Amino acid sequence: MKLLQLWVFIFQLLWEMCKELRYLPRQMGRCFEQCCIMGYQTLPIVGILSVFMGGILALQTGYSLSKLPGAQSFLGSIVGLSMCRELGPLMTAFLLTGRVGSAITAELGSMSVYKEVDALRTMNLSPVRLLVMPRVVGGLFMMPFLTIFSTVLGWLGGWIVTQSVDFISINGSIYWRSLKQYVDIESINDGLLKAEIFALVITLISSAMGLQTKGGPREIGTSVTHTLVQSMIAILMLDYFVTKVLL
Amino acid sequence: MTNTKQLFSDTCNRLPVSIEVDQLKKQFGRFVVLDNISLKIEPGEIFVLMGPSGSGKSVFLDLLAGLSKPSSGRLSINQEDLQYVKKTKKYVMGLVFQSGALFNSMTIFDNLALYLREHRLFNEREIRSRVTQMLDMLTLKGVSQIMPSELSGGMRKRVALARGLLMEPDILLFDEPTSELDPITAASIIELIGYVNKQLRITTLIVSHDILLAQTIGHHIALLHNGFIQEIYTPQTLPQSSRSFVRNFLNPTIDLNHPRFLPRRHENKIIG
Repeated sequence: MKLLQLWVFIFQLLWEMCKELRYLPRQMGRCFEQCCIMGYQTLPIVGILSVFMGGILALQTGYSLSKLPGAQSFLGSIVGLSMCRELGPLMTAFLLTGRVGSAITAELGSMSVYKEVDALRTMNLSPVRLLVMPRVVGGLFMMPFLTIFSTVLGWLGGWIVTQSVDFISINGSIYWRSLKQYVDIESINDGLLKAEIFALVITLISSAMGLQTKGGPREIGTSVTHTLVQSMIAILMLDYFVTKVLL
Repeated sequence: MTNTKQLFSDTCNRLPVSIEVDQLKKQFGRFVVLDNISLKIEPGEIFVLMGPSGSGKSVFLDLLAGLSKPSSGRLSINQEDLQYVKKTKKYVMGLVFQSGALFNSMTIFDNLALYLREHRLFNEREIRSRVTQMLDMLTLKGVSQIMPSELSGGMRKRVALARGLLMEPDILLFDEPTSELDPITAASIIELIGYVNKQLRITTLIVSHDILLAQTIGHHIALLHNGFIQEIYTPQTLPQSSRSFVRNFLNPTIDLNHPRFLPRRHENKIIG
């Protein structure tokens, strides 16, 4: 029942936000601020994890393919497609949930608990316009950059592994040629589309959880935990359905 | 405070409004917080709603501010329904929260300028001038660039009042304006509210259990008890009330032999 209420509230927020879109040009300062916060918070961790994710993928796949003569030449395409269609958007979404989604819920939750949101309402100022819209727009704007950054670093991680591990016997040019051969613009677009859907869901869930927080510091903590759980479930479920539609 | 009327020229040119409450009821599930509340707040007066903690005073304020909806009954401003008034934004309402509810991520200046900026009421130069004048008027010089967390309790209340006043409201609502303050700071807040009302004739509702406040600046006083308002008093008639609850509320006796928190059936055992 609570889950249903949450999703009804999320769709209400989305609808409210669509109505407030005409005020977007006046909120560009706040949107830019959110972009900076999201980029600053997420970029380093996305970079580090993506390099390792690409490396692990190359390591595992390279080991399995070493038993099939000549199959390692497909390593570039496997790492390339996995990173841009699946792992790049998914991992960035999880990191955005952990770093940004939790911060949004904590901040808006604290504002709700300490009556700052009520203060906005009494001033005839829409909390959706001032608090939710900049965060959603910031997420939608930054997510493609973060995803591309993650994908490229994942590819680099895979390349580093192919050059430094003994049982992978392909050189760099074969890795990149294979990657270029299979990774087309459609694959990159599919990954970016997923990333945008994830960004919308994460920012809306975290804003909704924050605005619905009542009580005190303990409830703020509970809301943050719920944000993480709900966002991750929603991301994985959406990932399955979007992938099915795109394939 | 010489330039008050100049700063609030718009408010001074408007007629004060009245507030009518008719058979108002608010319940959460089966729990009735407010039951059959009816009262009228005259234009330009200070109405003080008193009552013990948990009697539903803040719930009443939330209803009037439009932050929640009544279960039944009617709230109106100048005989126009509150929902209609909120929708059309016909009257401006300034609510000064108990905690101040200042935006903690903004400086004091940005807190005060937010309403004027977002509603695009003036250009940035005029906003700066108005905020600075308001800070001067409330003896808050030099705090404009600091964060709310750096302020004392009394200063937070004054900044919250400044934020409410800068909206040039038709109605000012206060939630416990003197709670958690020392007697001197509380007195200065009472003087400030009284002064602003005298100068600008803004219809004011104060929710409080501060007897000094009610008797010094209140024009009418109501006592909320168990969700009801039994009678409305003036500062002169309040001490003469024959109701035991009112007399007990105004002059609570401290009896260590029969403390209120002990259940009656245990009294003899413990004392004896």
